[in-house]
Amino acid sequence: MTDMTPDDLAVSRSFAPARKRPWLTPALLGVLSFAVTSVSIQSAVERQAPILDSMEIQPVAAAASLAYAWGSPEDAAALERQVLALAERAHAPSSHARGEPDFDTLRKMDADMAKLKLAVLANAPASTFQALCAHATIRCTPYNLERLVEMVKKQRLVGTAATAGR
Amino acid sequence: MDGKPSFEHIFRLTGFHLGAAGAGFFVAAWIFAPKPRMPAAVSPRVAQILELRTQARAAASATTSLAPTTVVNAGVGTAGAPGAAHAASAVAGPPAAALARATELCTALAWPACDPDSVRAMGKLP
Repeated sequence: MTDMTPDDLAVSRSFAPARKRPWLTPALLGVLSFAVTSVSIQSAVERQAPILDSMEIQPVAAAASLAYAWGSPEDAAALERQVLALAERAHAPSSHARGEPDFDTLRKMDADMAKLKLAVLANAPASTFQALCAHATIRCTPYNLERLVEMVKKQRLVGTAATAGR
Repeated sequence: MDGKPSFEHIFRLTGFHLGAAGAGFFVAAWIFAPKPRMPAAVSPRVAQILELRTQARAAASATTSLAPTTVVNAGVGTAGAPGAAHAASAVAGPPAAALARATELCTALAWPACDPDSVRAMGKLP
């Protein structure tokens, strides 16, 4: 072991790794954390939006279903129009996780049913139903259209009840 | 300063890094936190229809499932007799009140069929 002079010590100090920017790694970590958190929040919000939209339709859809079955034609039509407006609100198409229901498609199906009910209430001609069927998301073909329209007509119970009562 | 970091040095460095990560998380959460959605206000008529649905359901479920119990509770004692269910719904408190309220709402809405049978049938809708 040799004795070290102050000059030797000064030389060894200069070889120690210099920390030129001590703030650099914490700053990078902060930025990374910010980026990961914001991307996670954005994707979660995107996935939740169609679910919340569907939930928002529920009370109006429940009222519309009762009004269509038993209510006055005016109430039924007004509520079906509300359901249609809520179901057709413009949104960017969202991706749904595997195993999760596709709420966008479900809302389109709600809109299709509302359109069919409105057509029934308005006593629309067959060509209207054919046009609705052609653009429908629900399983509707020219072969089952008649059955579908009959089913929608049967859901309006107040007409049949009044007829049966006579 | 020698090359070997001290405990305090490591402690401080870790603290800075954890603090920076936490700060990034909180700033992002504060900026991008989803805003609460304000659902469209339900019109008074829709609220009335929804109440009618609830009351009709209460009336319908009472007449289908609670009728025998209601007869016993009401002290009528003629559960097996013809028309016992009707007697029960007339005597029992809550189901009769639900039916009365549903009928009242239906009449207020000026719907075409507001007789008790129709109101009970409304309650059986899915």
